[in-house]
Amino acid sequence: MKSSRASQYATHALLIIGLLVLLLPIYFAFVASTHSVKALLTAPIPFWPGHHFLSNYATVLFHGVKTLGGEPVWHLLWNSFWMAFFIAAGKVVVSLLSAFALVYFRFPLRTLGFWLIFLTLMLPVQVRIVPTFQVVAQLGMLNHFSGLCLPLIASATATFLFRQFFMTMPRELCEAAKMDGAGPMRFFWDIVLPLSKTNIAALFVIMFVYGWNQYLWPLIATSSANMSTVVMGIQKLALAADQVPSWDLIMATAILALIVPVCVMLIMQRWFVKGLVDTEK
Amino acid sequence: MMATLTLKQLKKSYDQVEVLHYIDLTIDEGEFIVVVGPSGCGKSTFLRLLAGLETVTEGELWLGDKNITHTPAKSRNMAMVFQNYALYPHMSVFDNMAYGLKIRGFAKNDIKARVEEAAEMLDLSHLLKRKPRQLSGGQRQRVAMGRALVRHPSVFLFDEPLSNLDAKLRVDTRVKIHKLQRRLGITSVYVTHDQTEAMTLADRLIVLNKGYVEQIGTPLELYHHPRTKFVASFIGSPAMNFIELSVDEQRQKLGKAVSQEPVCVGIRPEHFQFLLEGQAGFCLKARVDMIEALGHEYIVFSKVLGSDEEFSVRLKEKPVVTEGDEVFLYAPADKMHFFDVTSGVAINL
Repeated sequence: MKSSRASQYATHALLIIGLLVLLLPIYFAFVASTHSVKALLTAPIPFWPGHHFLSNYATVLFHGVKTLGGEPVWHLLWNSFWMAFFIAAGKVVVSLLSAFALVYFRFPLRTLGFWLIFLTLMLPVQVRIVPTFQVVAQLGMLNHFSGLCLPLIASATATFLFRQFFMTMPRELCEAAKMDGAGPMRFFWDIVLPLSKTNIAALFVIMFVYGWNQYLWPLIATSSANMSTVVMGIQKLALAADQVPSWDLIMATAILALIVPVCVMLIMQRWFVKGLVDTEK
Repeated sequence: MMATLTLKQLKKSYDQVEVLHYIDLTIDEGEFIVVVGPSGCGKSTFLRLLAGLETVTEGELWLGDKNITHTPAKSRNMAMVFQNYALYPHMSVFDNMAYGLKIRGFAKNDIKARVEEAAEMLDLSHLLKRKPRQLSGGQRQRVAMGRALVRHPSVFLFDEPLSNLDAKLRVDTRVKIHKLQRRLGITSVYVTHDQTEAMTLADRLIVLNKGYVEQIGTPLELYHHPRTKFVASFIGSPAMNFIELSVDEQRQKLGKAVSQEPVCVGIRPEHFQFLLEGQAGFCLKARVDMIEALGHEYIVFSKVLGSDEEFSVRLKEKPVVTEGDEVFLYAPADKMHFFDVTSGVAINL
């Protein structure tokens, strides 16, 4: 398809406007993180980066802030990373296996099982948060990684997506593997898994960001400062009582909280994009 | 292991729907069996039962002296070539062929030797590193064959392996399969709806219709002595011509009543002669509708006057008639087939 020069300019103009709209807040967050609080509280707000970049970031990353219980942000990032990683990995593993079972095995109540899973799509975390808390508390998993991640690792969305993907794979592929002597798990490992690579990457990224952004559940399931996540950390920073919130540090933490998911995204980008657009089988 | 396949009263049904009705058959070692029939006649199900991809509802299946009715597919030592080839898209040609051997725990160099041998046979040696998507349709088909070959199975199963190829390639590949099977002497069951494939490849043909075996026999047996009207119409191209004759018409056209009821007369297109004047015997007045010139032969379609029947006539030479001409179609008595009008069963005189 050939487009005229004018429409190319229009496309670019639109893209640039969109980019500005998206990037401007992030830019301001970054600028704010390089000034002192004082500079931020006097009008006009600065437009160019200031001189406190190193000191602000060093403070949040390594020294910790009092309102955070003195926990340095690198530790919060560490917690967040592993929580997001386990949630994403868990979701991929659990939903891959359940979708595999749903598509390739005939067992009683299979359809009912599928619809029950599908139904839970409509229940947000918040609805079942109280019973979940009770179960996790009784299992003694509060203030522990298992308590943070386990309740979140089942995913109806991912199961559904994998199911749809498996159903597009020709039935003969499974039969050919059977004739070749592969058992079900061998078939899963040698054929299904490699073919789902791009889908797995795409889902992993989406689920990693989902895990990273978890706020309510970590807030409930953890109380000790050394288990808190970066998203909780930002909130605690902003909640400083009886004093001016240190916006410079809050913004520095926010920027840091942004970097990890962006990195994961960049690393997985090649497969991620392929997974979303690829139809080759 | 003896590779005689024996089917005893084999039956398959899904819930209430019967797909295959009590099939009895013995396939000798090294025999090439072709199963033909229209779509939905149960021929694919038949193959999948042999492969172990479907469960047998009733009856037994024996390979040599082993009852394999309930043996899982992987332990039957059969190899199958699928219609869409079902190659593993993420594996190279080599790995596609080697996969079955790897699972069965063959040694690395044994696998390599076998795959290379098969690749040599199928002219695939230069493609071993490619992925299936980088191959043409014909090459993919050969990889699918190779995957079956390397296992040295006791039975080959083919599920319409040529239907995705273009006409020329189909003929080439058909000949290749035929030669290969003769050379290796592996018992083969081949499912197709293409009757040229059926006639040329088969040692014995099985014609299936709606889950029933219509006839089993050599291709020529089926061609010359069809046991039912269905077989007669299915084998041969263009199809056999049929016309119904009442008892009176039988006396008039055949000189005697073949049956005390109306019968269906079948005549192959190549057994008709054109006459410009009517004569005694089986002679029908017809108008030429259309002539298809194929170079080596001519097919003349003509409508029998006073009926809806359209007859095809095959001629070796350029016909003297042209479209719109009125002619007489004559068939000698010894070239006719008779079938019961209601049951379709052949009447032997």
